[in-house]
Amino acid sequence: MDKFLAVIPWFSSLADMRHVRRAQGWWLACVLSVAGLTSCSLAPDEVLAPGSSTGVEAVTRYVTARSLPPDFLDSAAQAALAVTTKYLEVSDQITASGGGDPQAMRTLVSDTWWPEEEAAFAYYSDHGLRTLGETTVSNLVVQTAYERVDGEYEIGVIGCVDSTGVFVLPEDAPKPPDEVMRWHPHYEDFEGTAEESAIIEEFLSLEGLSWGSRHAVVFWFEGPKLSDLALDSSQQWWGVYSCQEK
Amino acid sequence: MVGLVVMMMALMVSPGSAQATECAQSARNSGQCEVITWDISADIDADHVTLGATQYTPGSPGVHSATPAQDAPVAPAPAPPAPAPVSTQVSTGGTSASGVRLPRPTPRPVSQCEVIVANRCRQSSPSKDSPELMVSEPIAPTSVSDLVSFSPATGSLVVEPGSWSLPRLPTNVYSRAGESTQAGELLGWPIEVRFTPRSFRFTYGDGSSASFSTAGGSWGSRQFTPTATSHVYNSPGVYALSAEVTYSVSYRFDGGDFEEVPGTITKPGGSATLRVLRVSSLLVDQGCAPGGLVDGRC
Repeated sequence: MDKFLAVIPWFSSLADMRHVRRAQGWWLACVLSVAGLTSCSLAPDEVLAPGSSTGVEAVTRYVTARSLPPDFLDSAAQAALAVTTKYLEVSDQITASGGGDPQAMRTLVSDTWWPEEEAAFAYYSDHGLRTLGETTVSNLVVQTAYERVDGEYEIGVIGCVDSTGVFVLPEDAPKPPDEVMRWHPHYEDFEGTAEESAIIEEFLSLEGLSWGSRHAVVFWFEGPKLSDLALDSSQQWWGVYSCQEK
Repeated sequence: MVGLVVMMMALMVSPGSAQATECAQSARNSGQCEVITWDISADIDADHVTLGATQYTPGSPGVHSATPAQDAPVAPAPAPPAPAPVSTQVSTGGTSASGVRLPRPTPRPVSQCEVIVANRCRQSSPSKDSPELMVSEPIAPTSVSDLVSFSPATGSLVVEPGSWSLPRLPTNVYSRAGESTQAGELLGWPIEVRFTPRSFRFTYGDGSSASFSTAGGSWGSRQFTPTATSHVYNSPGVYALSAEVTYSVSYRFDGGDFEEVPGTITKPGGSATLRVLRVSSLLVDQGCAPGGLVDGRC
């Protein structure tokens, strides 16, 4: 029972983050009832199980109207990793092309989340920006995974999203010199020559140049099958989680 | 001084705490993912406390050229993060720059929740590089503000034995002010403010007054006995009594632990009118029956 109670705050905080702006009727009611240690009207099974983690201990609970297979969380973790990786990959591809053609993202996100993506990509095209580099995710933790009473799955994961290797630069900016790509972003370890440092300096001083960052990010996916999940929400995570640089 | 004493104090997190909003990864990369920062403050006035929260977004999109994205591990603007020190070392050394260590923006700690209330993460502050963030990125005009005021429940003053008393005997005076809690909402967060009486000042109307850390209490069955807050009137007359109660203030979000707010609130604690009777010696063959003494007469 102690373990059960210990899960509630984390679960609740994640639910809070997601539903600050997007409360959804019965689902929220169900979540709240779970947080309050009461049961949903459909008397779902409540199961505690360890989540998938690579270095960060996680505890996940899920609620379902019927029993889920014992490897559900492992399957959810694999599915979430696949869809998160795919999402980041496609996002990088679209912005690398200037954001003008975001349709490749359409099938990866929910109807409600699609406008967020459209607006974000439009910023690139409107401002003549593109990206160079890849965003990576690590330490993915399944925090919440369950099957809703309507049969849809909802999976909440937190990952360490690193886009420090992604340059955002004007469309007409030159390709970063090899010297930049060799050291970026670990300039503290720089041991190159004066010529190399001058080249790096020149590139980094380009107007409009910036690069990404490293954040803990929470992703919410939903879909009818674990193999068919769509991103429904994402935001930077400020809760308890380790996203330290290795 | 019991006037308007306004104290500005930072509560919870100073100067603010951050809360990320929903956004796409491409928006995060381009610095378009806004991070909302809160400032929470308290004004303690003479008789109420006002909790305030201001929500704003640091910086503005697209203005930080040649610097990392807005929420990246940012070096203080406007200096570019790495190149300048390299040039200096190279030009002064005149030799190979091998071994030169370029300064690198300090990674921003993002992992820990610093404000946990009721076992929930109620935002993490920008933490150690918050001052840098403030310096390097001008604060946009306030977008949302919220204020909510609270004041303690009014206490009452009780005089025993009643509206009358006798000279040269203890008259019991005590306060019924107690702890009270009020609920409200601050920028969408449920908040409770608790007022706890800490001191009581009784003005007895005969030119004397006294302060106590206790509210005092009823005589019970032992009338005209000294109590911690009793007072002896020497002369018959009509006296106007009053009380002031000083409260400490604490608050909590959503069922968490209460956090004390520095400062106190002093609020009127009720008033009463007391008639101290003139006493004449009179020999009687027996005392009044229990409860038979009314206005000094059997």
